[in-house]
Amino acid sequence: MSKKAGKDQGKLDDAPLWMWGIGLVGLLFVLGSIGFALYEAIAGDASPADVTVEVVKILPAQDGFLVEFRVANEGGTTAAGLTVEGELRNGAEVVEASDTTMEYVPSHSEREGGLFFTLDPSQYDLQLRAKGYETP
Amino acid sequence: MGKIALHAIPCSIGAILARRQLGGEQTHKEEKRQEQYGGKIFLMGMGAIFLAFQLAPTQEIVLIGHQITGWHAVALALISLGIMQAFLCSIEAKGRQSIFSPGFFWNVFIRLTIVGYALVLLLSLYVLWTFGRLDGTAFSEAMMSILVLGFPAAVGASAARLIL
Repeated sequence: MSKKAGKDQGKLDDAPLWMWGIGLVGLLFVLGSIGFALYEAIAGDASPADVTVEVVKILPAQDGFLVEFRVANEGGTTAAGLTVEGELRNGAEVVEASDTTMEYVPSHSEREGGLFFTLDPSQYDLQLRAKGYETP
Repeated sequence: MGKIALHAIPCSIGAILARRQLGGEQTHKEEKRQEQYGGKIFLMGMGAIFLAFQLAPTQEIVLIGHQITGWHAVALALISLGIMQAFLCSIEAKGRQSIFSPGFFWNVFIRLTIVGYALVLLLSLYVLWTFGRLDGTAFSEAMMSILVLGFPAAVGASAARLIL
């Protein structure tokens, strides 16, 4: 038993240099990940969600029109269940409104979605805004 | 076609598992290969992929990544390392007197645990990317998701030597 243990000891201790090199690379990687998580914990950005919505494209759809939009969350908190509402206005009057809910918009990230309208958005004043969210 | 290719990965690992669990004998060549350093790291990678593939398609991994703070992530990483070290020390011990002799402990730690965990994190990154969990996500959020998925993947990696 001790002879086998000695042989195993030999197998582990006689590690060639490249093995330690790989170990070093792995160590740097792991320390980097843990260091990053520590940085997030100590100096991370915990500001509330700061959401902007912009139109990407307006396309004709089968039953009307599709407005593709992009939501960007500049804040430090994830916005869950974010409602995005689009209104077609003619002056002060709201001609048509559509809304949708985005499941998650993480911090410093973007998500895309679409709103369907029956009237042509290019004929009216299209306004998109985010209405509300919850913290996950 | 993409669905079939994606499905083939956990299926193939399942096939290996079935062979081991249902009594298939390992050939001498296979046993020798598993004892080499490359074989050990490779098996750890397989174990990590196996569990990562089960969990990455779920919503919870990303959701937990959003909900936890940096301290939770650090704790997850340290616990993952601890579990891996415990598993690997006992697998590598094979009748040794003491697992906690410093030479052996740090040997296993640097050569197997750290390298294994780095591999686990890289594979978690790959699997999350494959399932589109990192699309349009900032680096900090992606890193949290990787660390969250890294915990079960690390358990899978360290247990792989026993199961696969």
